[in-house]
Amino acid sequence: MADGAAIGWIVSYPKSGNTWLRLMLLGLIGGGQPIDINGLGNEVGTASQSEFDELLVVPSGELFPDERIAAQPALNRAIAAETGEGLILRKVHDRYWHVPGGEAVFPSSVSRGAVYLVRDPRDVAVSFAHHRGTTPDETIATMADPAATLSAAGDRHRKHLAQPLGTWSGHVLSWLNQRDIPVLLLRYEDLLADPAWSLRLVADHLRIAHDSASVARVVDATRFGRLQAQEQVQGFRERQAGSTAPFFRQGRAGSWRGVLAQAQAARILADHGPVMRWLGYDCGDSGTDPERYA
Amino acid sequence: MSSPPVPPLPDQGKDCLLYGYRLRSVVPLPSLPVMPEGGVPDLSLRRGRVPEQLAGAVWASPFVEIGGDGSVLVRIPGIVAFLIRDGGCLTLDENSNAETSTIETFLFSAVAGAILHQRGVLPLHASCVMVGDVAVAMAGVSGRGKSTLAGALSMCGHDVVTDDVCPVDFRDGKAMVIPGPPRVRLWPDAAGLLGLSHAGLETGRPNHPKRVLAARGADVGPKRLGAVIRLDIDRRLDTPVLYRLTGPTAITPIEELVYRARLGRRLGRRVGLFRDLVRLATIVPIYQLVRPEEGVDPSRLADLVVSALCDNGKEKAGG
Repeated sequence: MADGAAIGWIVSYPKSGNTWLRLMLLGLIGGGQPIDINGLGNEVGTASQSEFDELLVVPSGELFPDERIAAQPALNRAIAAETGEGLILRKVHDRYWHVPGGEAVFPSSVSRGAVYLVRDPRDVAVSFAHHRGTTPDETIATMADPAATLSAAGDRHRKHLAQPLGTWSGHVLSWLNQRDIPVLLLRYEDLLADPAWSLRLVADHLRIAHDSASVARVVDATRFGRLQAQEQVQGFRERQAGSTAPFFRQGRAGSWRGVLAQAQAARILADHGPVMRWLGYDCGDSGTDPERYA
Repeated sequence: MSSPPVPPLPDQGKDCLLYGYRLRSVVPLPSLPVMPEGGVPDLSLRRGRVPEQLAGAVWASPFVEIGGDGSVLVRIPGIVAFLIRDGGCLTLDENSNAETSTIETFLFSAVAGAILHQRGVLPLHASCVMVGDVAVAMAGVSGRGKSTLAGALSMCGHDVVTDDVCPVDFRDGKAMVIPGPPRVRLWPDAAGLLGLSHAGLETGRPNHPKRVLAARGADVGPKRLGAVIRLDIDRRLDTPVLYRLTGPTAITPIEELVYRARLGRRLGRRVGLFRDLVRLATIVPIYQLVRPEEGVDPSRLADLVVSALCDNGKEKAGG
């Protein structure tokens, strides 16, 4: 990490509270002003093809995937250079990864820090299935697929660059095991249970100024019900076409219990049990030594 | 157009027309119209030594460097490299074995952007077709559907003026579009939306999935720009909407309207680009066409584009 580095990476597997946390942080940076859910600009999005084209000049659409991939560290450096002295938040769904030349996609030299937001994968499976308009079984298979990639080549959503996810467990471990960028682990469930405490933790990690009054205002402005109400009235630009539920769907922990079949929950446990236990998720058995998976 | 420097001329080569400029090239460029012999070229393209890096570069990315003298190096590592100097002197790396289609792909995109910014010409990031006797530029960053819409309009009989890079020249109080190659670059899904067979289209870079629709082009003369239509996507919409933009929102953010605006700023066009856009907005109506992300027939959007011109005509007649 470089002193005064520009980028704060807000990292999560999809449908793990990334948008909610970014809205909170933007509220805090703005001094606790009211939140417009559709006011999230490109500056907090994932790297897009148009950003690539504008910042690196050559048209990304005329490159082959390996040429685009090789340039991704440079793209992130260019984003930081555009930001200058300030802080920019960037949403990340990628696992932590390196380009074939060995360079990290998220260069430590431009990284102020990362927040890794994790959510019980059983709730992720339900929410991700609604988001994509697929079945929980398909999503559970995606979460166990080492080759899973968002916006993959040929994907209809190619506005963004390809984002390798890997398995849900591999995603968690890739970020928590890397030593290049200081990373704060935050559980979605803890954000839900105590948003003020969580927000202060994240703000301190990314060196965002705050006081108790601004934190309280932001927490109030970003209560899940308020975001849901805004989506109901205005819609939400990030809601995917084909989605079978509002983007701000429930904002609850443990709702998988009424949705997933026993076999589906068992499959997730079989795929991800060790990491789930390490993160303290209730797997119906005793805990496991986290050091084994660090 | 702004005053061209006199470039060193290649010893041989045919003259062709690139964005309104007479280009003398030692490299065959089959997509460009051939010019009659005898004129003085504005641009030259020859093979020669292109450095790996520019000494004293003031800005660098993995593909592009800007020299202290305003020269621009465009390099696709291991494939092709161009050095662009003084807005007219182009050198193609003598060691490059790139196919003609690859050379054309980058010449008609990043290299053209560098030439136009060096020469102080406004390049809109737009695809452009003729509607009646005026040109309509459909502008937006990549992924907004510029080429798909140009393809749809082409299939409805509208001549294609240019795709992606749209130079605008101001003459006698009018904004004129300088035609480019009438080649519309399409992703396979866009080709499918237009009912075109992916396999039946030409390739750009060999083995690349993007295809080239060789559309019927307008003649090579400048075309009066009748409207700019900015394209946007909003997932909340069920149906596309078109409306007129006025005031500062019509020309901001500049990066959504100008081809490689940051490159232009780095080449000294910070004030010039803004001034040109203000001028453009005083001459030409600017619209926003917002569509849902999916499920819209391109011909429906094409109808909306044509309707903008009709409405504009009515406004003029009424006003």
